[in-house]
Amino acid sequence: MTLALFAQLLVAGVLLGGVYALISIGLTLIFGVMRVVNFAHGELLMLGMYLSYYLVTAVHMNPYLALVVVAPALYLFGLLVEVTIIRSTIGRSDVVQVFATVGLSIVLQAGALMAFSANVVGINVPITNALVQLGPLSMGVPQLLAFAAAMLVASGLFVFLRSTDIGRAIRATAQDRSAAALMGINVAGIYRLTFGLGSAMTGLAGALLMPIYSVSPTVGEQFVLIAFVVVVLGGLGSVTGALVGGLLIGIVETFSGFVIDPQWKQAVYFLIFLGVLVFRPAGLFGARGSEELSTS
Amino acid sequence: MKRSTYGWLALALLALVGPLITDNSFIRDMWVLVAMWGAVATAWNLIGGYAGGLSLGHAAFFGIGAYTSSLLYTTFHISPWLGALAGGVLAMLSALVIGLITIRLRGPFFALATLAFAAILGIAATNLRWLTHGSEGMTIPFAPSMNNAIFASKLDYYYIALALLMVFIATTWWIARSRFGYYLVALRENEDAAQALGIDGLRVKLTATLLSAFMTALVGSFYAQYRLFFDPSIFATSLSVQIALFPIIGGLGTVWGPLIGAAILVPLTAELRSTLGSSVAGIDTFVYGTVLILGILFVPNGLVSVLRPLFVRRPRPADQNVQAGT
Repeated sequence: MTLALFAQLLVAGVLLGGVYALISIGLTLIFGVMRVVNFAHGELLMLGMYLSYYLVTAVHMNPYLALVVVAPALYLFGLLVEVTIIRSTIGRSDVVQVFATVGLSIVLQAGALMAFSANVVGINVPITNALVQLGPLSMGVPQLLAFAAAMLVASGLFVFLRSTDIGRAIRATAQDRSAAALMGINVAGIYRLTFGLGSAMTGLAGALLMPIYSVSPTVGEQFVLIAFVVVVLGGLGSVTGALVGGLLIGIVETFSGFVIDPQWKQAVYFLIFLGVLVFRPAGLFGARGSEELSTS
Repeated sequence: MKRSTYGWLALALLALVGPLITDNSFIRDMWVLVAMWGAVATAWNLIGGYAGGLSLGHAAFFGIGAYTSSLLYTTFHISPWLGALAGGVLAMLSALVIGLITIRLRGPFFALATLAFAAILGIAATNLRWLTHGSEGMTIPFAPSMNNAIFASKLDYYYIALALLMVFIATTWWIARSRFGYYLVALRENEDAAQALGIDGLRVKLTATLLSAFMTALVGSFYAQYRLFFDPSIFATSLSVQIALFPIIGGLGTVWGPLIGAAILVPLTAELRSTLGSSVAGIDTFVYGTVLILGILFVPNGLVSVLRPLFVRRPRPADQNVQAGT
């Protein structure tokens, strides 16, 4: 492998990793605060992609302008889901927690099939194929933008959680729900906000993916598994972990796709996934024991 | 004779002669499918219901069963009766490997790990074309005979599925009353406390997983022989979810719950698919999902918990008062 090829693969891997980090941040936020493993995460992404698709094709909106519609829309949808379903699963057994969101994922997928049909559709505007040439390296503009957005979202969330009052309330709730409630924090409100924020970020990710990937009702299935791999690798609940995990998986996927066979690359990161669950279930940045926290 | 004995006799009679009432192919298919999914659901219930290991990867064992018996049959002409046993053993071996590494994970993490396991097998089945024919799928030539385990009549399939179902239910019934069954429930309710009392958690849960994998693979082979065609989508997450859905709706960790779930949901969704499916694609899965959400939130103990009071006589109020008064 020549150096130029290595560099090109690395760049492609890092950019792909940015996309993966972007789709994982909402999942890890929701788990970190609410201890809810959202199996319908991929469907939230799918909804964001479809909304962006229709804004671009029907309203002729710029795909990047569509973000300002998609993110708030998904925030509202997240609130709705939290109030109708997620709230009643908090503090209940594992089976309720797992299968309520599994059920939601089925409903959203089937709903999308009924509403949008099974056709795979994509948007085709000039920017989707634009390339930036940097010496011997070429990079897709949508990939670069998605990567930049991942960095922005992650650092924005980081600052928000560190230095605002609401951010501190969210972290307090994540650490100890009862203590937070005793300190006068409205825990139910924090949960609602967190689920809304996580959904909005996922919708944002969906809109940013639309210039790169096509959408169909089952698109969530492909991405949700990657998102789970990323957050488990990084440590469920850790925003930094999602960023690092995303980059690692992106690089691993690009190189294993080149060295082994593109069709086996998914198997490679599922093996990594199982490996992480076996050897360090808390992930790279996660608090030890979180994987063994049952409902409480 | 006790009143409940008549109930059991009626049920046995229904199971044995029910499919003979009509030779309508759609309805007979329903009988076969209810027995078949009831059997898989009963197998899942051992690990998912009794041991509390929420597997979202049972499609893996189902697929291993289907592929093993079909490959042995189509390449070496080994009878699927033997092939099914081979598939069962192979599924147990894979369950041993995956169980050893995932069984200490709790709740959602166990679900994720099992999901990844089935996904890896799905990718392998798609890409190992020389072995599995890839996404073209496996086609078994229609050559009905006892030795080939291929039959012209759906009735033959029904009685095989019924036999599997009955054996699985009897196994569950026996386990639920055995020391082993109490170990499983103890581990589900409080793993740490159970371990502290001297239960070897790993060994007990692993045994349940192996048994469940073996049973699931047998039904996988049956499915292959019944449909005579399948492809790598047999490893899909949606199948794993469906397998788990029946016990959840019927009643987790109960002997009859999985069958009750299958007996209600299989005809319901088949009917929806045939009446509305052509005009509104996805309506049947939409119903599945909605039933799952409503069921899990409002009837978390399953339909069994709703039905049982109708069949089991409640203690008279006077008895309760005595207890409450002491």
